[in-house]
Amino acid sequence: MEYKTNIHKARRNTVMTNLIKTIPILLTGLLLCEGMYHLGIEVNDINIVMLLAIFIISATTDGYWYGLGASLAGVLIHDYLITNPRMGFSLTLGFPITFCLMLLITIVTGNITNHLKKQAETAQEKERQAELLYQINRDLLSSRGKEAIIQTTLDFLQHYLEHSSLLRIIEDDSQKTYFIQDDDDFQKADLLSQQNQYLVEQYHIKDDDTEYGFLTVSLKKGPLLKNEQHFLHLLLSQTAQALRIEVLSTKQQQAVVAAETEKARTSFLRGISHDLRTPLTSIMGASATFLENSAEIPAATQLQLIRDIYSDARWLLNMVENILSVTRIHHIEIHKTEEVAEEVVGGAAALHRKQYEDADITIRPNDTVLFVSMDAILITQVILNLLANSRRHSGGKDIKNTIEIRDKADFIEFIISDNGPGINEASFRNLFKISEGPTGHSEDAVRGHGIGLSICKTIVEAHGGWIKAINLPECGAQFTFALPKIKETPNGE
Amino acid sequence: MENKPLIIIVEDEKAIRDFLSIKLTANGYRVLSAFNGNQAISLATSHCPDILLLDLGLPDIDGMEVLTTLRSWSNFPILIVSARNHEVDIVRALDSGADDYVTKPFSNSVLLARIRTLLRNSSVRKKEKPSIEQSFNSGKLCINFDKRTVKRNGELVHLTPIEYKILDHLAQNPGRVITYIAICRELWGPYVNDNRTLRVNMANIRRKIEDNPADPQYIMTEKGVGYRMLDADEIK
Repeated sequence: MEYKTNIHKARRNTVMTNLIKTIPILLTGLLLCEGMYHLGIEVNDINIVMLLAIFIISATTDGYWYGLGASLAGVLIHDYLITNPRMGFSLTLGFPITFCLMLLITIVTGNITNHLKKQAETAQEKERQAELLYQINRDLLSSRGKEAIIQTTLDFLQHYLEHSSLLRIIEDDSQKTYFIQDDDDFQKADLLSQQNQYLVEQYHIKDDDTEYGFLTVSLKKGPLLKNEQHFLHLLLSQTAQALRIEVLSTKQQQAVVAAETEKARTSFLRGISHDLRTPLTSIMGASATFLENSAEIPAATQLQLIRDIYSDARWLLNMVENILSVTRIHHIEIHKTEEVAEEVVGGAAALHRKQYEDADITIRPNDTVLFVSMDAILITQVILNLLANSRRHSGGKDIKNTIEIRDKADFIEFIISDNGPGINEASFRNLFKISEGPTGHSEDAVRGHGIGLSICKTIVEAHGGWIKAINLPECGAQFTFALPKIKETPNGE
Repeated sequence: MENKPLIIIVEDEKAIRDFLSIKLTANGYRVLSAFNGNQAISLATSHCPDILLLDLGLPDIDGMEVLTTLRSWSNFPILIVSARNHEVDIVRALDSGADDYVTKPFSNSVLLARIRTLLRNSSVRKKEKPSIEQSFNSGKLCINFDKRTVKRNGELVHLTPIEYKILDHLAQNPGRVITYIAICRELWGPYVNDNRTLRVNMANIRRKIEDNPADPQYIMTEKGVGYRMLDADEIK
């Protein structure tokens, strides 16, 4: 895996290895020749052995020089030792011919082997790059999220690049900077200023139309080798691809959420318009009657009309608070603060009492102080809706409510019960849903069937909690909603 | 006639201006009204009211600006009438010198109670007495500021020093909302940003002085804003 170190070591060791190859082969060849001579084998055959030795040397070493050297030495030694006269140079007419022949063989062999070696090297390099590309690709694609992608890129840079460098990622409105191999403060300064373009080199991370960032490499440790440049291009283009895919998938998710929100909003608006129309009709009717016929209406009836207007206006106000609470939930995100549970419950009960002076609410707080992470205004709205709901479905009875706060393992539970007639079995299934249009007899008889409870559900679920309803064994309904407990972090956030 | 307290109503909605001035006149106040910020400032400058009701959402200049302009030279009580219950705006107004607030829609009785409290406090302020009251006494709950003792139904309540300080601070300003920040600064200095400690203390105080800590009679929580100790005569 350590390609970069291999490259550097290889250059240094070439001469040594070539010499180690050349000398033994040459000596073996000469020894063989000597042996054959003693066995009385023909000189011509001996020459062939010598040729073979030269051929092997040329084929296994780099370049021509070892082959040339070996053939010169071989010819001289061979002439000196073997051809007549032994232990003396014959320097006959045949000598230069033999030498030229050997040279020719060396050059031709060298050429062929060099060519082969280069091909092998290219193939090896290509295989290495393919492997690297595969690795980069695999690691980047398995990284989820922008941070992970950048981290993967940083890991590769850390691993394969000796030079100090700086990676800068362009965010929507800011930039993030990462240093790689930053052992030197001067280099940091160089990289940051980018003034001296001879000391740094810049690579962009971009695809066709977007630039995601760039990499600045310090050239203090020498210029980038060709394969290093290639590696950087490869890595950075893959990073750009991965970032592009990430951006696209985020956009797609947002689009899905937006579509769902839009759908929910539409059905909510439909529900609320219906709920608003009823009290408005009654207010307009009562006040018009009063304006047009005040002379004929007895004082007691006049008062009754005004009282009706007041009560309908109060109902409208409740609606408006519900609408407002929905506007506080943006993209399922809410502004949560830590609140004391009993304070919120107490506050909601006080508000309910202000609206209905005859309200009878008992609160049972937990023994210890409980902090819950919530949007207090929204949770107050939930409690108000549940209280108003039990009042509206009282069936003419005087309603008594109890609110209990319970500390459970993962949730804080808020239990709101009443002593009313309980929930109609048929209503259970669609209890927390907005009624999607006229469903029959009860639509106008019990107004506001829809949005109050559905808003409760939306709000509680936006907090990561749940809501449920049951009928109590004797009489009355019980609504329980639970909000997740604050996770204790030892070092804060 | 001249002894009736003067109230200036700053409100851009005519319907609200109308019913407020009818209601307040019926309750024995003199009323002047302004429909925008600039008019409010000139009216307040020329008439110097006993109390000013200020709507934060005005057509010409921001209500906050009117508030700071008025506060730069005046100290008559200013009661904020806020259309939306945006706690942040209310806290900002209170910290910029407003004396109290009501949120729309408000009940007439609450508004009148707030006005009475503010008028009484400001008349005390005018006489420049160093100590406003010697004690807070609602019948059931009795706080003696000199002796630093708290009695509930005649029995001595044991509070920690911090708890007493909080209670003392609220009881010295009965009927008025005190923001979390104001209490925290009073107790722990200017660099406290977290009101969690205060709220734990408050929960403990309530366990000691209230019958039901979740259903307080004396100290009300003003959601997201602060605490209000009810005026002794408001407590049932």
